[in-house]
Amino acid sequence: MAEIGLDAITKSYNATVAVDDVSLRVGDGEFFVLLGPTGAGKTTTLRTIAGLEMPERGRVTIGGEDVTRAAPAERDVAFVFQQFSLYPHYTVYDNLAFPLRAPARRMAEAEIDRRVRKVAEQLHITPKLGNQATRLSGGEMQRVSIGRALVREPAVYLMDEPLSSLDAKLREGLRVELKHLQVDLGATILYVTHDQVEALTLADRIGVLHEGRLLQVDTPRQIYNDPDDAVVAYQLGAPAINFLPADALGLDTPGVASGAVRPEDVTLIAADAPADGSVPAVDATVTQVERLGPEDVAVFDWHGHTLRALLTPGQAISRGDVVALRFEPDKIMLFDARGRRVRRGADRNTAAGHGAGPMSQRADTGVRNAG
Amino acid sequence: MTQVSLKAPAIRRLGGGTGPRQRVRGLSDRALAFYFVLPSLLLLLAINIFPLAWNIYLSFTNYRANMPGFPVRWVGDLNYARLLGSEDVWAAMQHTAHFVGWAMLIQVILGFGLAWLLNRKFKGAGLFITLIALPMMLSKAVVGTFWTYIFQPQSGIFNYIVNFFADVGEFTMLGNADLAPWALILVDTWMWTPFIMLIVLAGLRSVPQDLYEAAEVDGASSWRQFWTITVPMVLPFLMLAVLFRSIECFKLFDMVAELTSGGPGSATELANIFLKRQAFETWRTGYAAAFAVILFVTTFGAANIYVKFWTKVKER
Repeated sequence: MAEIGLDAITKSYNATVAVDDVSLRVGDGEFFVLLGPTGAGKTTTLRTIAGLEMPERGRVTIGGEDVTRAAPAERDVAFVFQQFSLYPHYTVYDNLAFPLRAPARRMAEAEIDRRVRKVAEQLHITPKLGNQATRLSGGEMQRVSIGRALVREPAVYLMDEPLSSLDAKLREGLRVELKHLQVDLGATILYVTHDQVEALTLADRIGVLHEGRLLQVDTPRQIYNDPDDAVVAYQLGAPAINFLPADALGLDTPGVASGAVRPEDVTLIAADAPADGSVPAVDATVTQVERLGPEDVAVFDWHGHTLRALLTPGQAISRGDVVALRFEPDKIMLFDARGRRVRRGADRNTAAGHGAGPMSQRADTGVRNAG
Repeated sequence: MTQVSLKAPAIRRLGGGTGPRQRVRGLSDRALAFYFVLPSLLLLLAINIFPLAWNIYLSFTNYRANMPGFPVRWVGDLNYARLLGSEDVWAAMQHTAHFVGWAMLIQVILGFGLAWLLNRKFKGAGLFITLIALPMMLSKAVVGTFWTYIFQPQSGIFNYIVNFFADVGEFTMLGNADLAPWALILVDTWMWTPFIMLIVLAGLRSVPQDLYEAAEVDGASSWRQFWTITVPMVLPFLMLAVLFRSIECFKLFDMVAELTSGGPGSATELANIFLKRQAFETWRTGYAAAFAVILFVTTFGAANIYVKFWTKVKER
């Protein structure tokens, strides 16, 4: 196992900058997830580490060694592709043995056999070893594909959305297994996905990429609770965080353009509940209720703004109802016009305490600080 | 009681069995469909099935097309027996095998090579492919005719080019019994290599790029990538191209008729040229019909076996 280092990597295709000055360090034995929407530059970053792309600028190190100009085979990395990329004319066994049979490895057939069987055991595909690779189900194919990476016992694993072509149930199962494997092996994994659930559940640390730039790197909990950027806040959490313009929220803090509140921080209060004075409430119209089982997602219209709330199931609301909502003032995250987070320092507590909007009263009693 | 229950199905069967809802003025859907298909069925019968049947019938007679009044006699398998015992027939079959075998081998190697080269991205690749594919779009008779000019010993450019590289002096390509078969192979290769190239190119482009990337990360050499990824993925395409080309080569006639008409002597007398000579020069119509049947069965049988094999390769 080894660590991965990226120093100011830049890569562009013609006029488009795919990866823009990205620096990153993945620690030994760390499960690092690069999260971002399509076209954010995640895959390009991954391919640059694998040596399938050459960066224009910057340096790639694996285990402290500069491999920027090295060929893929010289880097001791394993790559798991989204579309499995199994060798279609080989059996599962031969697919697993393929990397070990590379002439550079000069591995004895007995050792190859031992490793292939061990990995097949780990991934529960032993009964499939004799099958043609193309005659497997999607989940089995991806197991083989992961197995092909495992047999090599490489320095680092690079995974490009390995679960995204599987159906939801399989994805969930394999996700759990993958995490187990990583912990057991102490493997260094750089994993690329657009699925925030995968990122939050798998990662030791998450890096959010957007338009080629790395916006924030942090632990899942930290990145969810304390995003540095509106894009980061939006990327994590489903249903997505609610963004509202500052004036709608009655925020008049200088430099604040919008406020955002997570759906789970929006609570429904009975219309006739006595206001306790500490929490402002708003009247919103229910436009849709999605009943998911363990929770309900309600969509509201509030003066032309759309709000989503996660509610405990069984709330007696339906389309067209006008209900009272409240959100904890200190749960509102503030962002400037460029989407950067504006943090409320202790010194600003009193400065903005005179707003006119429905929830501005104690909007700035927040406990977050800029640290 | 018994009588009624027995009769009921019989009555329904008389009604056509399709029920009243599907009837349009007394015609059932099936009947309607039949009448729609009938014209093409009749046409097929008239221009395909009947001639085939008539040809099979003639192959058992001593019929001569140039003697309409001549009494036609049933001769049994005499034509077949003569054919299989004839040196000329075996020679024609050998010429055909020689031609098909070499033409296919050379065209597969060249076609694959060209496709391999054209599969990388470069400026003007599309134009290049179109230019290379041009010979394929010409008429075979025209190609045959102008290659006779190219092969002219005195004025032809072929002689000039060969002499430019190797000083062999004046020689006749088409008039030499050793060289003429190779002239046919050369012209066919010139004309049809692009066909194999195009199909192989389609095959090469269907190989997912990430397979090569996976192999590269796994440390496979280019040579190993070629044999473990490219060849198995392109093989079904290549085999299909070879099937089409072999059938075409087997029944080649017009180009050879223009180039050599089977000569010199019978050096380039391919099966179809032999057939034409028997049918329309010596007018042994029954004999020629028998040979046509043999050719048909051979091609059909070989193609069927090949397609079975191809399906296996494709499904791997």
